[in-house]
Amino acid sequence: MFLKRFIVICCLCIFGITPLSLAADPLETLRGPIEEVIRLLNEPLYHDAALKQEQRDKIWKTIQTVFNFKEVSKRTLARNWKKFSPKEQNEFVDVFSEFLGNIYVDKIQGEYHNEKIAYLNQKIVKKTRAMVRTNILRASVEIPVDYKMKLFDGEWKIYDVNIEGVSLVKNYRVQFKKILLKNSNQHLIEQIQKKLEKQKEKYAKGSK
Amino acid sequence: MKKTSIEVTVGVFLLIGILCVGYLTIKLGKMEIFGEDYYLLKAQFDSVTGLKSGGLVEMAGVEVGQIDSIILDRETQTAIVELKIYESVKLSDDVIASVKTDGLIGDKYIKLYPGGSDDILEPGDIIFETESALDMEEMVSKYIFGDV
Repeated sequence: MFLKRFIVICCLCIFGITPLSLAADPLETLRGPIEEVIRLLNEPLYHDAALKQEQRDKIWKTIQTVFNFKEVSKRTLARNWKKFSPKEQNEFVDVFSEFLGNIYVDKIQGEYHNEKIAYLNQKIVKKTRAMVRTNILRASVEIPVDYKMKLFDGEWKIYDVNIEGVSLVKNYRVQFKKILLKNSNQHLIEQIQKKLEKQKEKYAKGSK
Repeated sequence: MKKTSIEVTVGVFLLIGILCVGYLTIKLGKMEIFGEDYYLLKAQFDSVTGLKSGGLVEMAGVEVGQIDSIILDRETQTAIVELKIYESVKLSDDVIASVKTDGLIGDKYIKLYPGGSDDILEPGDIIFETESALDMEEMVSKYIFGDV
């Protein structure tokens, strides 16, 4: 009996408590993917215009590993999230994450001019949420970028980005609230879908 | 007899006068004797330039509280703002607090963007999601002089 209890407690310690305490630092979790994106941007191979799409896909895949787009979507929709059916929620997460990804990757790919990233510090609140402060160092300007992260199953994932003090989630929260006051959930999804199609058309033209 | 009634009338008017002055003092000084009950929340900002204690806290343009105090966190060199939020207003932990300006050159106030999380903030909790005051001069100088 005692042995059984001991084994159960040991299992709990190993599988239940350690993921939290052993979870890598939020700053270190972030450093890997950021360095990888910079490496991809500096890769001489991708200076060839024909390989831009491949570079794009790789950057997007790297970004996906550190973002939790379900949480981003949930926070941007705020109270409206619960008014979405599970099917609508999934649909929304898919289109919104792709839409965000396109904007994000476009900016990174188009406006990268050998900037360096300075990792300033991290602040952990209530053990499950963290803010990592970084600065993008351009030739003569420093752009503060803060990442808000949350612990999901022992892994730190980003749910909001503050650039120059302006929050990504707040920006979309305000817009979506306005749209959903007068329109249906499906209308919002369709609206983002339309924007996505426009983005895709742009890429199709770009690759020709 | 007549003298007594004049004295009583003067006394009554004086009393009314004192009550009026008292009411105005409470109203204009934004003291809260008859006001709603409230609870305190904290929010940490990088910069709160122009924000004053006693300032408004609003949500969707409606007043939901006041700024109680602003102090400097010596360790992190950031501003800690204590907010008095009306008891009837419940805020979830993903609420975003943002320092805004009333018009172009008006007073600074705090605007809350409500979230949808099930975790409600308890008295004394910290609002984690904040946006600091935008320093226009800093922004302009950064992008003008930065591009040299």
